[in-house]
Amino acid sequence: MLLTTKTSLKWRRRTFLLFLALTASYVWYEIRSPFTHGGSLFGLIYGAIATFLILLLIFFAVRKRAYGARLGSLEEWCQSHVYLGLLVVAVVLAHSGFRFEDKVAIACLVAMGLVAFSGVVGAILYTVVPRMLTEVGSDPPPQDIAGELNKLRKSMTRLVASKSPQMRKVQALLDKEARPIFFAGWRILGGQFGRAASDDKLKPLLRTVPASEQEDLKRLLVIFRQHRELHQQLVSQQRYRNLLQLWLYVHIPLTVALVLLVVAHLYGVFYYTPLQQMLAGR
Amino acid sequence: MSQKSFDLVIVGAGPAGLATAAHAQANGMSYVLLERAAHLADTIYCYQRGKHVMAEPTLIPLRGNVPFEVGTRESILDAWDRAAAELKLNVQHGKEVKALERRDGGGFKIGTSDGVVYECKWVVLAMGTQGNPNRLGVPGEELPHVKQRLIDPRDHEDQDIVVVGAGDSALEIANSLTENNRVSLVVRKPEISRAKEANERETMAKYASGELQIFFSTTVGSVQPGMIHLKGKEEDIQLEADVVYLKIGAQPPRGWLESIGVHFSSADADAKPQISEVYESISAPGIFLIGAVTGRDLIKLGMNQGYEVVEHLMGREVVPADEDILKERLPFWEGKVVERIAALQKRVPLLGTSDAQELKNVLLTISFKPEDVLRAPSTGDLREALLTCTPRRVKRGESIIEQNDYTDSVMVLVDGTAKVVRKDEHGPHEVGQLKAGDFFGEVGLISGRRRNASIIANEQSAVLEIPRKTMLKLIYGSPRVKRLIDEAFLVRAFQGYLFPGVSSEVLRALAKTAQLVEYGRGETVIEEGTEGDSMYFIRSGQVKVSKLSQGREIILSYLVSGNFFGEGALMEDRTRAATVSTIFPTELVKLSADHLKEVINASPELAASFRDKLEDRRLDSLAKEAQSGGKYEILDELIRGEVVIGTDALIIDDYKCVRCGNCVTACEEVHEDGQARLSLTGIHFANILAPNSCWQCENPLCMLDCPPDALVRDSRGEIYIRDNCIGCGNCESNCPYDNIFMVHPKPKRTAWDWVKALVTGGGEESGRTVAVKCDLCRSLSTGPACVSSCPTGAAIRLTPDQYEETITSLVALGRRSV
Repeated sequence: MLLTTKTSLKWRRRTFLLFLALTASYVWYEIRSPFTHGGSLFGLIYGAIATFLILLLIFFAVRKRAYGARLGSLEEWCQSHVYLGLLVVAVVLAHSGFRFEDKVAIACLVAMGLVAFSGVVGAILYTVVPRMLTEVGSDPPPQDIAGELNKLRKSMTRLVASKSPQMRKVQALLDKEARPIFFAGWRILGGQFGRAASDDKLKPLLRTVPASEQEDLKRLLVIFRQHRELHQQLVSQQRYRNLLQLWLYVHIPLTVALVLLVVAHLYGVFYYTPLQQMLAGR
Repeated sequence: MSQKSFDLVIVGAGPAGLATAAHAQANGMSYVLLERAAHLADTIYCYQRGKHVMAEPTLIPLRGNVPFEVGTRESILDAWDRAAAELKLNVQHGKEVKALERRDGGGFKIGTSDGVVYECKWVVLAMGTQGNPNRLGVPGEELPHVKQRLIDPRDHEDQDIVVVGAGDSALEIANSLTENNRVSLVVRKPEISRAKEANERETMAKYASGELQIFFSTTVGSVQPGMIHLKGKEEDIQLEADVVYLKIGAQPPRGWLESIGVHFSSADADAKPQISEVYESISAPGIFLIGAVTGRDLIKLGMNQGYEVVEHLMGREVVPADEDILKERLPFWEGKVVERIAALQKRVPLLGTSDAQELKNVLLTISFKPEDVLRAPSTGDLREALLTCTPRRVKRGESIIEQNDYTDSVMVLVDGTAKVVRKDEHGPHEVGQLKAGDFFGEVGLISGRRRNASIIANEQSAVLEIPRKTMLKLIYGSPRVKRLIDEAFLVRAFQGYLFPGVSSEVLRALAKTAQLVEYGRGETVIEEGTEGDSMYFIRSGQVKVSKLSQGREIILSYLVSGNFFGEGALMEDRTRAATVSTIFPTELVKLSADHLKEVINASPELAASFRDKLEDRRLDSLAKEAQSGGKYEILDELIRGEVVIGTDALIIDDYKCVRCGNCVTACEEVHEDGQARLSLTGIHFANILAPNSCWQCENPLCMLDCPPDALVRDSRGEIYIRDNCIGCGNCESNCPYDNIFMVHPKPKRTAWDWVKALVTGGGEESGRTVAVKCDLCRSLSTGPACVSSCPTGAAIRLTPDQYEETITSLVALGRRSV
């Protein structure tokens, strides 16, 4: 419900007002100045504002970890992060004067667009996924399920420890499904959560188990069924949990790239044209 | 048979015995210290490994030259071993005292288990309260793998262990060892009958699941190395046994003490031996009793007693170690502490020694047992109690307690006068007067609720503040104190909660008819549809009021201490309109309707006040009719989850929670020990999670049994744990909601430690265990870190008056947007 709370509404209003102010100032700038570009006085002011906003947005990560901090509640910070993050794209566009020539600057803009886009995706996920996760239910919690799964796997191993090789083969096949796969966390997002022990492979093996071990075989299969059911429960919860984190794997590396590009942009611009020269109107 | 003669024989090489021996040696007395075990201080030796040992009372200096300071079991035992070696104390191990008799012409003869007889002028018994463990009387019992005590369950791994016995300690040992070992329990009877329910339940569950073997109706035949031979009802059984634990009870030392002439104060199980100021038995001169056997189980006090006994025997005047501190506690009088305590007792009937005749004026009810009422706290009890008390001088107009504070100490007005002022919707007004010798604050103590009035000094006055824990000790130790507190509570609670403005005289008449009844968790007090004959007032605890509607239970409300119910019994139609049952253990004051009517009819002011109350109630329930039914459902869930007991509960709205875990991380980060007081498990209802995090109970069960009194509540009602926690785990097991966690504090790490951890593979946690619980981040000005660190506003804190409304709206919001 990230985007539907009262605090969210408050920041939406604030940001909208700021956007209106930005638009008005840009219209005035556009009318007055024949050649809108990042190096003009207005362009520089927009650039400074954008830089400040970017720093502020990055500061969210610091505030999130400053647990005893007095600087407002994290909820306010989070909402401002969402909306100011959108506003900064508009400010940067104003800064460019809609003139896209410098390659570094274009790269900055693209990176920023991607960061903002991934942020929007994140905000939407934060709004809708918690509800879905709640509906799936988180009882028992994943950490408990994981422990229970390990127990079941262990008892499967114990059960066949002193049994015939055929029986152990069955267990090995079942254990393959029980064992986590590579990149399991990512793959469950697509609904895949392991190598299912197909009946085709299982049935021939079952036939080979000696008659004296039929009772144990049944017990093994029952334990495996419990394992499978529990596993599915875990996956259905974990899928949503992973979804809630997925976008951060895009958002954060892109932010790092953006910051590097912005530093390059600032360095490049001011190296070739010192500030004084820019203000003097080249 | 060899004979040995000494000035002094000391029995028991615990701390008190060691201190006696060291001081006797320093004074050139001839002495011997007899110890049953092969090591010093057996009681402490048998503590669990790493157990934290306190050195209370911290204010009293330690006398003599045997060291003792707060530390772990190991550090303390080590210090004593070294001291005994350095001082070359004459300790003789393996000497169990069997006989003690008087010698003709004075002095004593003492016989030990190994046949040696010691002669001496005086005996000091510092033998603790462990008693003598019962013996099986079978061959092989002395083998080294037969043990009496489990020191650390981690000592055993993959072993065959046989536990003999069916008491609590036997079951606890068996239960703690099953995880890593093959454990068998040998029980003489056909069932387990004398253990605590929780232990029995755990044991039987393990038995059912095959984790534990139990041999019922079985006795031990013999023990061999690595083996135990059992005699069952029908057959003999041979079991492998790497270790055998014998837990078949012990003989308490009282019987033996009485056999040598030491008299006890009464027949009660917790009675103490009668001793003089210098710890000499009153009935058996020449025998001195010190340490735990005298009922004072604080190590330091026992050691000081040993020192003082020797001082006395050397003919010096003994000034108790606490003399100077106690003088500071009683600055209102002059002279020795004994004299000051006498003056206090004369002034304050609560702590005093006034006789039955005098007490009749103070007490409400006539039917008391004079011997009970006369059992005032002894000077010794008061000495101990006063150590923790605080004297206060207050100026005219200064408040001694503030209305609405959550403090729970009892105050004694030692000097001066004060007025009782209560603030309500009409503003503050005086409701009573207190004179020197009166006490107050018992309502907060018993009900756990906020102070219901302020007490303001009329003139320069003096007050003695008795902390909750000390007061409870006095109450348990003295029926007289209990009686006076209980009766004062009745009158003042009636005045505070039920009938403000009605005079104490009338209320005393009402209180005379009252009867105290106790209920356990979930018991029904009155049932809808039955005929009632009494009204109830809640002394402590909580009840729920419910009704049956179309076969379904609907909860109408819950009532906390200070409320009344069952007033319908006073009406024409006495049929109960609703069912009232307890939410958790509750004490009620039962008022018979007939008596109550009599008292009410005799007093127009009471009748008027009561009519107002009933009218309020009627209007309340009428107004409820207009409220939506959905509300009841939520309230119902809250009560079932017992969240209503909290005064400040953490609630998480699952629809907003993005499961980032920042609340838990924040909790870890803001606490110095690096451990969270919050776990995201708990009670779920609809989209609301009440996680496992302390909700600051109105009547905190965790505080009931904290040995060092480390759990305290501040005036705002927040309960927190101080640094002197010893990690005993009592609060953890007393908390019914699993909201107290036992943890090993993580050390604060520097950057270098982090680097080291990368190489060495992780830092070490301290071995000390402490209890932690939510303290609402009292040290932070921003309030609880879990709430201020929640990025989506899902975590909120609620007080009881917000529960219904906020939760109803959260659930409704959730439903609407589905």
